[in-house]
Amino acid sequence: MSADHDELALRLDEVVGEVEGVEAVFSADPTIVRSVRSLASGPERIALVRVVEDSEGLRILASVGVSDDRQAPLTARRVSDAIRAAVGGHPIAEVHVRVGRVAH
Amino acid sequence: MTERSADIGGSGYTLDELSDYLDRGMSPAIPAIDDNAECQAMLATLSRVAGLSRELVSRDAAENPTIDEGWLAGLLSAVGREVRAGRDIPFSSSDPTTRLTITEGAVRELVRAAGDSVDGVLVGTVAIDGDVTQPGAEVAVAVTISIVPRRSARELAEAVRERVRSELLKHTELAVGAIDVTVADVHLLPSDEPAPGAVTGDGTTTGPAPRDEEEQR
Amino acid sequence: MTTLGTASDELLAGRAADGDTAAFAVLARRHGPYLRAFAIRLTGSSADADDAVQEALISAWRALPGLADRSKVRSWLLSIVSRKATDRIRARRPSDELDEELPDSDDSNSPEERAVAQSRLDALARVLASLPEGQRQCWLLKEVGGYSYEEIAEELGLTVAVVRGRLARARVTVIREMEEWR
Repeated sequence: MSADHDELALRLDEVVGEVEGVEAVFSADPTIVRSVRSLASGPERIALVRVVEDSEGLRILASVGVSDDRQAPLTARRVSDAIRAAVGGHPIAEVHVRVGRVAH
Repeated sequence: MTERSADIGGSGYTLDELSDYLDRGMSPAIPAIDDNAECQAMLATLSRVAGLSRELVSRDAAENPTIDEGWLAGLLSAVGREVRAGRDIPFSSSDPTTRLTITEGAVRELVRAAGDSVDGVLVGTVAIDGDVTQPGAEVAVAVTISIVPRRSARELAEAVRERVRSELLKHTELAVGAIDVTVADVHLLPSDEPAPGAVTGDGTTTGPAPRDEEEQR
Repeated sequence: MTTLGTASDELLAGRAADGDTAAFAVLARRHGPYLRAFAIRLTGSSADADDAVQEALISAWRALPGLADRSKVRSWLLSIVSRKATDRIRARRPSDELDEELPDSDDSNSPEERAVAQSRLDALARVLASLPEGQRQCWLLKEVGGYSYEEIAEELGLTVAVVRGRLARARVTVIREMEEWR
């Protein structure tokens, strides 16, 4: 992941966290991948949202916990809309929003 | 060094052979041991010291019943990092570059919470059967529950079924077929007497003690 | 205390297998003291025991989805603790000092001051503490852990013949010393 993508990913952490119905943003990567990355990048903050790029464009994965008050599919859709709005004109290959928990 | 004891009471069997016999549950029966008074006394002693060994550990535990909260917090944080996410269950999306999913683990938790919300019910296991990764494929849900006594199992199971169905309808797009609720257990409310074998706040076991628990004498 | 505290081991193990950490916490609280007591007797060190039990419970969390008989969760946990504790024993260099924190009886009290049952357990505690470490471990794994000779041999990295020999010697000592505590 390039420095550009790190910055975007950190920005997306905030964007996603502010979406109505989102209660938590989880790390998109498994713990082990995350600890390897944190070893590699030193003390800098590691983004929770994963951003990678291939020939087709950006691939973004956000893992979230959502509120029980709203329907989970609608909250997931709002998250993906917010991500697209935040990325702007950059080509996107895939936005994946994974609901990992419904808070009750 | 010959610490192997000679045969016991002229039976032709040594102490170690008696111990093996005891470990085998004294089966198949060996009349030379069963009919020998000294062997019988030794078998009783062997089984007594084995029981005492288990009692000793139970007593140690009863004398130190508190769990170090820092130790427990460390354990739970390690465990909490290993989420059982399971399969990704899709939500529909009109845009082919948008993928919306909910994890199987989140759905299980949802079902568990829905069942627990019925007064007098605790959910045990939750199974989601069917190809959940295929949009529109019918899935069956199987839930085991524990209920408090003196409540109608049929009514509680029906209440669980309704709440589970409505939560799944709200938060997933699964085509939910049968919701199978099995009453597998009974538990008491915290205000009631503790359940047999359940553990009270101080960590001691109550009710009929399992075989290897400390015996009160 | 939540309702989960009154649930059976089997129900809690099922929930934990499904990923419920709250149910797992109840199991850890319920069985922690027993597992720790066993590990202290086995390793002779409360620090080793705490580490062994924590490692064992983390392994148990991973293995829970595959556990066939959930009603036997305590003896299953005990077997994992045995394994982790014996790993620690094997990793020790021979020169390592033991803390010798084995909970022992208070000898200042005369036998009359104690209930007979307590004295009997104290006597056994003294006998076990006096056994050579290897004999004590074999004894505890067999009588408390419920292990077979073959399983103990595997756990401790010994031959079955050595385990058999150690248990034979431990047995003679325990029976001789416990003679008066019938």
